[in-house]
Amino acid sequence: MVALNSARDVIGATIRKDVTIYLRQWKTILTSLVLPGTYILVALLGSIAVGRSPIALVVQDRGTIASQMAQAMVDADVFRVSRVSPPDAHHLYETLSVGAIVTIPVGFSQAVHDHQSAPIVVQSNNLNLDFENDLRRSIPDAITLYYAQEAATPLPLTIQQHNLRTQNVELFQYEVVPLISLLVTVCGLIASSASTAGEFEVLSIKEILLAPVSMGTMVIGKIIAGWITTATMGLLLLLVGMLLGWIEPAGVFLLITLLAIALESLLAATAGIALGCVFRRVQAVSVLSTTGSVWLFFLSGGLGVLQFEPIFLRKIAAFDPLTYGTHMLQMAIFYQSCDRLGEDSAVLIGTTLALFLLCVVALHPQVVTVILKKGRTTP
Amino acid sequence: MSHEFFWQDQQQKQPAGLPTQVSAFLWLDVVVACLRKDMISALSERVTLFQMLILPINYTILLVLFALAGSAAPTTVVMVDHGPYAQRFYDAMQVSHSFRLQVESEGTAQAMLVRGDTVALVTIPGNFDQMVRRGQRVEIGLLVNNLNTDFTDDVTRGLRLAVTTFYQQQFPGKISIVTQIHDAHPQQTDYIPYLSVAVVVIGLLVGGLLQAGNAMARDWEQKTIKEVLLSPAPRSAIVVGKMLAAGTVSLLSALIVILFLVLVIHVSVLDWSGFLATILLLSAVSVAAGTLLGNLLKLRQTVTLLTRGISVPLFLLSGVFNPITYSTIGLVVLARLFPVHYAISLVQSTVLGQRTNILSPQGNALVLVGFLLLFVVCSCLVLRRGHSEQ
Repeated sequence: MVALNSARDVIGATIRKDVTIYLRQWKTILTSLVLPGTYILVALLGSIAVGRSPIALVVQDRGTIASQMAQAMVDADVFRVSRVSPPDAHHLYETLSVGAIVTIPVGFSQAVHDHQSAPIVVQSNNLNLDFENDLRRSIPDAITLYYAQEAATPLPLTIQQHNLRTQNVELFQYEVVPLISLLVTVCGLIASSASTAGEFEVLSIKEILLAPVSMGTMVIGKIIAGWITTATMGLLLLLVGMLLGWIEPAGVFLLITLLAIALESLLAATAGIALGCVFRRVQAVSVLSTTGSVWLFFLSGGLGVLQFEPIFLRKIAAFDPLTYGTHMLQMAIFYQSCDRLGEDSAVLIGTTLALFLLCVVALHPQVVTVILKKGRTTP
Repeated sequence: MSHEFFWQDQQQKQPAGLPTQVSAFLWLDVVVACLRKDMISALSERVTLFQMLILPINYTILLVLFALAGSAAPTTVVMVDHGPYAQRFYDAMQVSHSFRLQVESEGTAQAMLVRGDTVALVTIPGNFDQMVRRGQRVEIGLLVNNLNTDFTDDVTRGLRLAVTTFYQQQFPGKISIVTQIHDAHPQQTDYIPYLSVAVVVIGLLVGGLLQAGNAMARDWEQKTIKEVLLSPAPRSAIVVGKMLAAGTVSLLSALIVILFLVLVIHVSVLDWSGFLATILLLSAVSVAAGTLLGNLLKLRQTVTLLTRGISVPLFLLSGVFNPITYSTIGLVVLARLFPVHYAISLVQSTVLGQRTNILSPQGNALVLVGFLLLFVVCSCLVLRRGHSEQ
């Protein structure tokens, strides 16, 4: 009982000390927020960029079919369509205000009516294949939309589409969830690694080692302190996302979302302490934390959809714990699903335990004494 | 005696007939001394150097992964019918630039979809050939893992393109509406090289800002700036010397990015001399901006924080994905206020031969030279102010 009370006191004191130090370091807090903040902007701008580019639509034919076709093109919702005269279209094209001029020429309606070839002419500024492919796909999209309205359609081949999931998630919404994982990882790594490395730099690690407490207890205290600050940041972003309507976890899935954030924070805090124990320099661990979390974020499919990426990247992602945390969040927030909940949680907990053992070994008095002696002898 | 007077005094003591030459040599001496000192300091700060070298590669990978994720949907085709029309339809899907296709049995395909190994399952029904031959209604099954609407729309549109392509090829007279695309550029630039080219700019931007900003801020932090300012050296020589050192080091990160582009992404540079000149100009502008930033902020941590915070948004706001003029007027105006927009456009014109803003390459270069002069003059002015504060 006395041992238990003593352990509780040690953990409590370590938490209080580490959280107080963290709150005083506003620059560290700011540093950890800048990166995810930047990537939220990246995701927002990226989702706008891959979306609707501007094109000029010139309808030279006054027939019904031409106007139906023009309307189908607007309804296809692939581009921002400006319906203009030919000179205006040319001016917009020359000043790079539009990426293409789509012209429905004179005689188009008559040609379609007579079942003769009726080309839609596209002048494309094919700067890159992404834009070009959007253009290639959009016109047939409008053509099939147009023919679908016809009673006697010449296109009897139709697509019967079924979606695997009932929810539709917008691209930007979809990208917010990995950003929660990124924020949690960056905050956890930076805060815990800097706090631990700081102990080595100012040599306060000596006092910790000389204290008559077990190293495991000390590490648990440090992990909980890192976990509190990290999970708070994660919850704040979740709250902001919910207030802005980006994400809407509901019912029991809100609890799973909170569990995912808690497990990710725990992992990040433990990894940060491990990093601090191994590298022992604040500047080095700061750089490694930000760089490392960005890599983990990329490889877990942070800026896209993991399932769309090449097989080799998906194989690498299987070794990235962030993949499991992000998957857990996505399933809970978007699809109200517990798909692979056990596997995701097990990977996060298992990795945390492995890192905890590494911290205990790295902070073992004999190991630290060797490190400090080596540090003294190094010129 | 203030250092300006001391410097003028020194000049007056030079033998008659030689003052300009001597002062030029002295000016160069100061430049070389500042260059050497900052180079040694930069090389001794390995963590900062590592950060500066690794960041542009990070950004390159970010953009490559971004482009890869949206390039083609992994799609499984279940061909219940193996007739010639079914095969032609499969071929039409392959040329639609939308899918990475794989043919599987229905059971395997379903399992792959559930596992997340494929995002769409297209079923060509058993009587496909017969129905198409008779001109009867046929339904192609599409089961899509609708993770998000953008990617789902791409899959649907890709399949519609395959339908029209199939009909245009097999029954040319049946669909009268066809598309005639005239491309402005003879070569097709893949999205990855297109995005990657612009990464050179952020490599130079981050490298220049970090290196020059930190070098300047270090002098302020460690108070060595006092000695520099109290010396009779002209401000311009100090600024130029520091800029040259930072520029040399930051060119290392540019070199790594260029090697990555050429060797890994296989970007072929259209105009090497123009590209190299652009690199030097961009490096000078970034370094000048970094020197100004370091002089203003005077703290390394703040310089690093601001550099990391502003460089990516600034880069992405400046027309990386498409010409900035495709965006809203607010973004266009914002982009034109910063040199990054002109830098991206200049790099794209020298590497890809594409015009991506309304200025000519010479026009973009001139704007950058203007920014360079502005930053250098501002740095000298800030140093002068810093001296009076000291």
